[in-house]
Amino acid sequence: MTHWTVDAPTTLHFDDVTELNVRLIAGTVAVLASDDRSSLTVGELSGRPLQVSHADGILTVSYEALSWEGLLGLLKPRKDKAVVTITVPADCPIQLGVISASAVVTGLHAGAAVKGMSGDITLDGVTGDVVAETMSGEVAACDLDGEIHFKSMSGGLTLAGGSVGSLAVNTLSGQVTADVSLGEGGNVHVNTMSGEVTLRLPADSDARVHMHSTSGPVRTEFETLRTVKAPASHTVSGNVGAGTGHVSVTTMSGAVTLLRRAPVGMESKTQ
Amino acid sequence: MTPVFRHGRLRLYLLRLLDEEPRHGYEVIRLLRDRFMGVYAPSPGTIYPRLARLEEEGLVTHDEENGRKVYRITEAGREELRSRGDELDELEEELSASVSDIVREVREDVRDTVRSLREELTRAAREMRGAERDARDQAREQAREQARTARESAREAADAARDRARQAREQARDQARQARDEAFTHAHRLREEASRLGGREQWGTWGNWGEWSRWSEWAGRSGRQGWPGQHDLGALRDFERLARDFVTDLRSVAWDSGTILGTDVIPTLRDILADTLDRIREEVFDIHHDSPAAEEPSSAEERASAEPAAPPGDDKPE
Repeated sequence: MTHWTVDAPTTLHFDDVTELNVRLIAGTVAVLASDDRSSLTVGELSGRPLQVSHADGILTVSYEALSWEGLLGLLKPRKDKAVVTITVPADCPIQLGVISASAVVTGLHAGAAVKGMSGDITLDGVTGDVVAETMSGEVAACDLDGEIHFKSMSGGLTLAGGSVGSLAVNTLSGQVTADVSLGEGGNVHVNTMSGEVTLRLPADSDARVHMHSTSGPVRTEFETLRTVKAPASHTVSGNVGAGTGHVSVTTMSGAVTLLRRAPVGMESKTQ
Repeated sequence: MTPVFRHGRLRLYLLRLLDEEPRHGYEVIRLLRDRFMGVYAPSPGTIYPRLARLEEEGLVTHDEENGRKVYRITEAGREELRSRGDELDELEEELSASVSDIVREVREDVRDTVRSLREELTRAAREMRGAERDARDQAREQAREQARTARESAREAADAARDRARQAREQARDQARQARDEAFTHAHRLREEASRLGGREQWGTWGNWGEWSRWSEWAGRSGRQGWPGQHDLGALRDFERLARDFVTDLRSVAWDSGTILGTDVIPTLRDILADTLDRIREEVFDIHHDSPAAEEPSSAEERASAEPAAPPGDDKPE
């Protein structure tokens, strides 16, 4: 096991990184996929020094006495700030835990778990199991592919592009916006209290759809779906295509909109 | 992106890469590309001439391996690296700065994409809602229009009905007036005849024309006295009927007006009736009376109460 205490901007290189754990308080953490040797670059640093360790292929970046489990319990404001950029092999699974720091993850193919409090989370081209949990931070994601789990209090989620095997979203007031295509037999489950849900699926999607809002309006562009309006219950349900996949949206007061993406070449927008 | 390698820096970086281990030219290119996340991808046309130049300067050398050149740093090359150590540190810093640039670019790119997607979907959702609302508004407007049309036609019908009712009333009034005028003319003729037959003195005792009871008495008396001619008796009856019809008409006009009889109606009515009576007195019966006319309604009542007292007779006007 190798251990470093980083108290100034520096760059470290590592061979054989098979797993990455990062816990930061404030600042930015970025993880990029690279075929090059894994590296850690600390750009800015203030407050306590960072503890970096590399053991059995597991690279850990953290502060003293800041465990993964206890991370989200740390509500005491801290001044420890670091801007960290890490490159790892694309097939390296990662876990990031941040308080107010923002996180950027790009190009990884073995999934990523990012838990934050107020920092924004940006995911780009990440495939595999993707878990993003946040209190108030916004999650912005492009071209994800795989199993996506998202949980938030007030933070919103936006998914642009990509194909989902399963997308599970739980939020209280976060706004959920997703423009994705369903994988074979893919699932989309969205639960919100007051968060507005806007989904767009390809016109040739294949799913059983059930969308329900207690007090919000529920609308769809898919004409095969049935709308049932009753007091305190707005429901849109039915099948799109053969109905092998599953789309379910449940909300208390949020508005639900299911839009239809025109097939390629049929888009109204012409270049 | 900012230029990754300033003058001479690429050459330094190539030496550094070869210092780590001997590499193929292709491997060097791939490492450079990976290093910059594909943002900076040097072409073989850039790299191979530089490697060749380094070799000319004796800083690197190459071996053939499976037909490919594998470059290896020489001691002179290492010397160069050592002598330019400061520059190398600076380069490392710049390279990490370049990676930060990549991170920033990724983040901005994703955020832009996400923002534009959100706007697009929000707009699409709004348009869908707008279309629904338009349809709803249209339906509502149509219903409102229909209601308005129905209301208007109902009002028109009501107006027409009112007009018709008014016309009928006016017609009835005209007819009544006409009948009255005829009766007055008739009465006038009767009076003339009477004056011709009985002389004016007899009429003089009729000073209080307004008292219908007297008329009744007179009518009864006239029968006994053998008023000359059935014709005159018929005229008398007509006159009586006329007067009675007038009261009936007056009452029905009051009812038809639909307004509640206010206290201000009575004085006006009284004035008009008094005027009318005066006019009748002067124009029809040619009697000049200085005192205001008696109240006709009360006279009518008097007449009604007096009637049973009148002596019965076949010729009693009814």
